[in-house]
Amino acid sequence: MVESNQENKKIRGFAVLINSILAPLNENKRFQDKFRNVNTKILLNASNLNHAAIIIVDKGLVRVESIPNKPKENLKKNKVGWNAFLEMDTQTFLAIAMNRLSLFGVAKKWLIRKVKIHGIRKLLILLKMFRFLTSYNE
Amino acid sequence: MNEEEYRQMIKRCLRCSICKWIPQLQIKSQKYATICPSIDMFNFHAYSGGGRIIIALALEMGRLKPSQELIDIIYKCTECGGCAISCKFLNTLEPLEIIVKLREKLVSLGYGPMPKQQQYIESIKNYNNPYNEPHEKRLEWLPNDIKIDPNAKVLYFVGCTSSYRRREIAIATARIMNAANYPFRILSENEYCCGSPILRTGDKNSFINQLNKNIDIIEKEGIETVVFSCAGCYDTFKVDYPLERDCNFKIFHTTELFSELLDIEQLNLTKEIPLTVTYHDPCHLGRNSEPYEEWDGDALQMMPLVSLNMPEKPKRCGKYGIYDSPRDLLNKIPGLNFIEMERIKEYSYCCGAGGGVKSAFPEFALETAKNRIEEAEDTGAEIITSACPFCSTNLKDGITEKGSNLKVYDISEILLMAITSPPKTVRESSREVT
Amino acid sequence: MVLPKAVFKEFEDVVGVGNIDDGDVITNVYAFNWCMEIFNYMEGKDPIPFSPIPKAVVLPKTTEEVQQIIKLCNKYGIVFKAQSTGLGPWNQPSVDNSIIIDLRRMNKIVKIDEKNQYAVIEPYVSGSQLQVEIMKYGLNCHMPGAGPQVSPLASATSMNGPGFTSPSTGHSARNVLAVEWVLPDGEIMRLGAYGQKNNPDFFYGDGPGPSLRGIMRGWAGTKSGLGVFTKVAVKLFPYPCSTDYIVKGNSPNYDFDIPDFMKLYVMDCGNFKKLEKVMLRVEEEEISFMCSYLSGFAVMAIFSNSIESLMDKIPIGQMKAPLVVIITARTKQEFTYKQKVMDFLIKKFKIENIIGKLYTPNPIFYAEVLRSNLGLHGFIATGGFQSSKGVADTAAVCLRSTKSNILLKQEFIKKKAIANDFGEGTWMTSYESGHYFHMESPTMFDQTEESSVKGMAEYMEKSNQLDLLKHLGAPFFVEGTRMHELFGPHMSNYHLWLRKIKETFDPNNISDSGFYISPQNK
Repeated sequence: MVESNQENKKIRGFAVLINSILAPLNENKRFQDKFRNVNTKILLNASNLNHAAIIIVDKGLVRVESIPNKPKENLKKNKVGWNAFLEMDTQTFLAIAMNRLSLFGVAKKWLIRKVKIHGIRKLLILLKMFRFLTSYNE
Repeated sequence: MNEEEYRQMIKRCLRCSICKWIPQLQIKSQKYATICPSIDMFNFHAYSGGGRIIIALALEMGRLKPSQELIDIIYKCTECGGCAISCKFLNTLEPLEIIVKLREKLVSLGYGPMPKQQQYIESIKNYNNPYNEPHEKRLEWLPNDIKIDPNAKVLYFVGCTSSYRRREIAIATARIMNAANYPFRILSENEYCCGSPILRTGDKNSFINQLNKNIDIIEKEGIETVVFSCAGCYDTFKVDYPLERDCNFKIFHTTELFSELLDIEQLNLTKEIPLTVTYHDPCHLGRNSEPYEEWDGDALQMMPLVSLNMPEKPKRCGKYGIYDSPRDLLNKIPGLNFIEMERIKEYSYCCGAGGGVKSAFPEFALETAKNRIEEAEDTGAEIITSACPFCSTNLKDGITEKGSNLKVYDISEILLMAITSPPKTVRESSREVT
Repeated sequence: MVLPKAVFKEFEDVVGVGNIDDGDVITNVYAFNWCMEIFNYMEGKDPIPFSPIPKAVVLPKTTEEVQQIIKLCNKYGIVFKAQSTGLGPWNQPSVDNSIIIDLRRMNKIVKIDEKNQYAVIEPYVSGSQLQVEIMKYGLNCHMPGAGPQVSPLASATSMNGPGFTSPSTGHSARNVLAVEWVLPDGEIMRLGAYGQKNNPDFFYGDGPGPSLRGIMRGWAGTKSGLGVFTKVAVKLFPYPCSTDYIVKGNSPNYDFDIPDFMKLYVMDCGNFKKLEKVMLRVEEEEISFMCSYLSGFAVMAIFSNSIESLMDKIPIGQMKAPLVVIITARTKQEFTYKQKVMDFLIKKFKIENIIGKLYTPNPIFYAEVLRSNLGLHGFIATGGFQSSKGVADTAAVCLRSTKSNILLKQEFIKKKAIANDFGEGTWMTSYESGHYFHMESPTMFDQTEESSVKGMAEYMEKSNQLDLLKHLGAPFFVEGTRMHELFGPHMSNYHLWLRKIKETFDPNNISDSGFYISPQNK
């Protein structure tokens, strides 16, 4: 199971879904090994829902917290301390997660501001994490 | 279930007929594949869980109006919940809750309960029991040599059926607790009907009156734990009472208690009981006794038409009913040969008595009991046992009607037979029962 | 509208008191069905889930009672619609002046012939009831995709009939042997060996008695448009593995002892071209118990018992062309051989089995496979579901149909009429080890939202049009006069022959033709 945060705060909404998707990574030894030196915080906001997910990667382990996404100020970098920010609606999220939206498709959506990205280099970490989910356990 | 949930849910029946069968993966024979006593008896689709959902929808759409025909169909249901278990393997519909709510709606409109049910509701209001027996006679089951501890924090809630009709169950229960030196008290003249017979008819207001009476007295007496030998009372206190009012006491069925007492060796079973026994899971001790869990999650609209609950809403599928305790007890009785029927646990076949059916439709109750008796006979058992006096009563009536050689004993009676030093055996106890 | 009292009495004298009902409540309940709202909308009616209300519902117990009922229907000009478990709008009457013949009381397994591997059943024997009884002999039956709770007789005589185990158990139409058939005029017809004068039996469908299987059901069945079937013999097959079937634990998360010689493969073929090659080759080897192409979303669904539990299987959903194969065996030798073949094919086609690596299903999945309980998983996303298409042809045509449907589906997804499965929603299986293939496009909609119902109906119409435009063969739901007249001219005018059959066998048009074909000018 994904570690809950130190204060055992209840996570809500979209974050619960992200938690359930990323949970298997903490059982994946290869992931833990590869990410042992990674320390990052990624904010994943579902624009059509009420909570954003804060994905924290720390010493090879993943945990997820949630934060209400309104007012918008809640999600600012200086408030949350994220290294990367990704915002889209859940339908787009599913399309990306299920590999049904190409990079070109994401770029198109970014151009029309359906997808918002900050800290693209750190965001690549999230991509790598998802790739681990689809790789086979040795 | 609130009104909006009800209105949405009644539109979602798929008419797949799953509600007529035990869960598909549990079917072991053609003969014992069905779960719904109502459609087994009456055959028309309207008598199934799904059929009643369609009736609810037709009423909401104004296609039907309340009528004698409609009420008849809605009340020819034991509210056993079997349809719900089968439906919910993959679906999220709540056929039983829809039927319950439909009865409440009909009662609020002045249609229902059925006449015989109204009679017993009046009896409960006047005499605190559905049997039209004087309240003063409620304690007549109690033998003189039973030790009662008036200061005990554990209450044995006897229930109406054990107090007036199945006294051997109350006696056996009390004797077992005495044998285990387990102090308990009873409410004497302050015990009132739990309200289950009223609730099942849809008369919610009258039920709430009973609920308040009972909780008030239990709290006033400083009771910390309440033990039930009746599955109906147990389910009502455990599941239905907390929906209306907080209950600040623990609730156990005697099978749970006795199983624990055996584990800690406060009870010893040394007398051999060389009988072949099968166990009937009461609906109210099994699938329906699973409490409602509060859900504090969020509904997420993932995409148009697709919404999900995060975390997933708990689905009452009978998982947390009491199935193991009675079986543990039976398996621990020396010499006893315990055989399961095919339809057990959360997919047990109803005895036929519940939901007000025993009063309003006695033939239906009997036919259902006979179906269950036949299933018990097919195991080769000599005895059918259960943990509910109402089940026992209807099964007994079914045995008589069918001319079967089976005998019915409550699980407490069999347990008493096996205890080292009972002051009396069940046979002797039975002589006390008039 | 009710039956006149005297007419009601005549029906009651046939079936007995309590076995006929013409009350408002009973008849209204029988007017309801899944997807009725779609078909109503297609016919320009209000998109409600209720059909015309029958005048009465009768419950016969014997073939003779069925015969008498039908004769009374002919006498009084009342249309009849027969049904067993009644799933689907094709169980609904198409006119007010009708009765429903509910065959629930005809529920006997008449005979199990272990040696010759067939069983004779009445209409209300469910698939799972039949299966558990024949398992005692080490045998299995074909079950339609709708699930084990429906009637194999209904599927065999009156409906389409693909199933998840079709690679090994065929298609319902192919499994029918002898039949007892009450014709629309009330005559009883016994087909195949059951029609013999001396020693009638059920072991063969095409002789020595009359072989009218083509007329009786043709490709898609007549959906009660040509009388009532009261007994059918269905082919049985060796049970695929050990018959120990022990389901433990509590619903819905049961546990199951997976039989020793049963293995699941889920492999992403990457694209349709490769999928076709792999599927054909797997089937050519005649090793599969189940072999299905399911869209990524559908693979997630068959492993899930709720929409929530589906979401944590997103990595599986990434597969572009997943093939689900299950091999089973009764001996170690057989199992070893089948595994070797699969290993060889996996290596040859450079694909990977994700099971045990990326994902391991709960053991209960295997129980559901053996009991053919996977179809109902299609409902978990939105609660509403129906299939479009329904091709029976080569693998190439099936996949062409899938491809051609994607853009059309995406159009309706954009309109928010149907749920977003990226347009890919498909179930494709082979019949009898690749003899030919079946494909349908399960589509999720919300039956409680009028806009979704209308959108779904429009999508289904356009999907049918596409089949004509792109020469994809006749889909499943070519039912009813309108559809037959639409497709017939493109398919050798079969509809004219269908009509001739209807006119010959049912001159009074008493057997409900709503999902069959109406006689000329009626």
